[in-house]
Amino acid sequence: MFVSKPIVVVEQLTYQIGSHASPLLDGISFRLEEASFTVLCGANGCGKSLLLRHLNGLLRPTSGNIYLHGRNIWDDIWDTRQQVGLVFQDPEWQLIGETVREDIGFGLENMGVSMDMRNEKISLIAQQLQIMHLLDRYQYQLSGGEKHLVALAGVLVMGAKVVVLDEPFNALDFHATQNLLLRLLELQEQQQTTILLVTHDLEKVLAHTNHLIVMSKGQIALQGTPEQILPQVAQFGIKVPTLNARKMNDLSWLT
Amino acid sequence: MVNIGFWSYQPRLSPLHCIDSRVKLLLLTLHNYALLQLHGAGLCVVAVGILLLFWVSHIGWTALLSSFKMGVYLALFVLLLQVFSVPRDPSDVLWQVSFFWLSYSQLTYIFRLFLLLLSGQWLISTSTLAQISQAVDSFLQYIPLLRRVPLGWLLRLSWGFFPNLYHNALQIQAAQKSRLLVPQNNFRRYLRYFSQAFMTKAIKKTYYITLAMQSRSFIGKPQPSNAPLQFCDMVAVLVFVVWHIAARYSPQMLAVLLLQKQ
Ligand SMILES: Nc1ncnc2c1ncn2[C@@H]1O[C@H](COP(=O)(O)OP(=O)(O)O)[C@@H](O)[C@H]1O
Ligand SMILES: [Mg+2]
Repeated sequence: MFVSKPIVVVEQLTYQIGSHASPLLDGISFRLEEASFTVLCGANGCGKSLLLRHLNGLLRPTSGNIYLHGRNIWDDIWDTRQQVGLVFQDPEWQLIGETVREDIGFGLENMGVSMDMRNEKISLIAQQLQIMHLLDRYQYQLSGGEKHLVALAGVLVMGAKVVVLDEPFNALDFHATQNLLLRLLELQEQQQTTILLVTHDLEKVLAHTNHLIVMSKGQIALQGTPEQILPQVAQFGIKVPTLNARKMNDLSWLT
Repeated sequence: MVNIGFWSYQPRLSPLHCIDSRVKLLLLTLHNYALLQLHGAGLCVVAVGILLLFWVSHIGWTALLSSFKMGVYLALFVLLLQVFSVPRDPSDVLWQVSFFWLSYSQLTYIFRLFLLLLSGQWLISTSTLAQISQAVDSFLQYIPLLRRVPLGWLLRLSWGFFPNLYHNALQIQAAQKSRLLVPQNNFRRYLRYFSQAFMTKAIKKTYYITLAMQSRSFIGKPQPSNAPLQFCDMVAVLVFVVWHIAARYSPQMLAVLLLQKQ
C-alpha cells in the first residue's frame, strides 16, 4: 500500500463555550489524506457543524491544533480560508450577494480575481451545477434547494484544495445530488481536491469514500474504512445501508 | 413569494450598464446638486432626460412604480409635517386653507423630490452593489482620514442585510400564522413573540453574515478600483454635460424661442 501524505491534521481539538460547561468538542483527532473523500456522520447535535467551522478558521479551538500542509492554520488564516472552502449547513446564512451571480463571484472578488475571469468561472460552475438560469435572480427569490446549489457554487468556484460540505444533500433532489456528486468526484480526480462531507445518507456516497468518521457527543467514536466500521455504526444512531442486497461499490446515487 | 427587489439591480445588456460606476457615481452627485438649483423648464428637461435614461437602460416601466410609490409617501410625509408645523410664511393663505392646494414652490419641491428618487433608482438599477461600493471606496482613497474605512463594503453589507431581514420578518409572520397566532386574536402576545423571534434572527443574521464573509476570504479592506476609463465613459460624461447645460439654460432658450415667434 502506498503512503499518501495528510493534507489536514487535527490534533486533540477541544472546544468549549464558557468555563463550567462540558466541552462541545472533546479531544478530536483525525487526518485527511490528500485527494481523499471522507464522510463524517453522527447524530444530530453531536458537533459536526462546530468541527467543520474550525477547519476553515471560523472558530478558534479552546485547545488543540489544526494543521494544513503541516502548518498551523492560524499562522496564515487568509491563506487557510482560500485553501479550505466551507459550505454551510444552512444556505440561508451563507448567501451574501444580492443576485446569484454576485454571490457566486463574492469569494473570487475577495481573492482579487479580475472581472472577466470571474464571469468565466461563474459561467462554468453554473453550467456544471446546472443553475445557469438562476444567475440573474435575486437570492431571496430562490427555493431552498436552489439556494443550496448557489451556496455550493459560491464555494466550489473558489477552487479550494480542501472542500468541506455540511450536509450538502439535504435539500437536493435526485438529479442535483447526482450533479453534485459527479462534480466532487471530478474535482477529486482532476485537481486532487480533498473532500470532507457530512451526511446522514450513507447510501448516497459510501461507494466513493475510503474514510468514514463517526462522531458521538462531541467525540470521535469510530473511524476507518467503511468495510471496517460499517458493522458498528448502528449503535451511534446511523442508518446502516442494507448491505446484503448490494455490494459496497453500489452504495451511491450515481449507480 | 413577495418580490422585495425594490430599488435593486436590474441585470440587462444595455450600454448604460457598462459605464464605469465611478463615473456614474460622480455624475449622479453633480446631477443631484444641479437639480437643487433648477426650476420649471430646467426640471422638465431633466425629467425627460431621466425617462430617456430609463428607456435606454431597458429597465422597464414597472420598476419605476417603486420610486413613485416612495415619492408619494415622502411627499405626503413632508406635506403633513408642513401642515402640523407653524407655517413659515403666514401670508401664504392658500397653504393654510388646504394642503391639496400647492403653491408653485411646493410643486417644484415635490417634482425635485421625484426626480432625485428616480435618479438614485437609475444608478442602483444599472450597477451592482459591488460596483457601487467599489466606486465609493475608490473615491474615499483620496481622503486621508477615510482611506482605511471600508465604507463601500459596509454599504453593500447593509443593503443586502435589510431586504434579508424584511424577508425574515415575513417568514416569522408566516410561521406564526401557520401556528394560529394572528394579531387580531391577541395583539400584545403577537407582538411579543414577533419581536422576540425577530431580534434573535437579526442577531443571528449579523453573526452568520460575518462568518459567511470570512469563510469566503473577506478581510474587510476597501477594494478601490483603478481600472482605466473606457470610451463609453467619456461619451457618458459628454452627454451628461450637454444635458445639464440644456437644463440650466432652458428658461433662457425658451424665452428666445418665444420672442422669435412673436
Ligand atoms: N453557540 C452555541 N452555544 C451553545 N451551544 C451550541 C452553540 N452552537 C452549537 N451548540 C451546541 O453544540 C452542539 C453541536 O452543534 P452542531 O455542531 O451544530 O451539531 P451537528 O452535529 O448537528 O451539526 C449542539 O448540541 C448545539 O446545541
Ligand atoms: Mg450540523
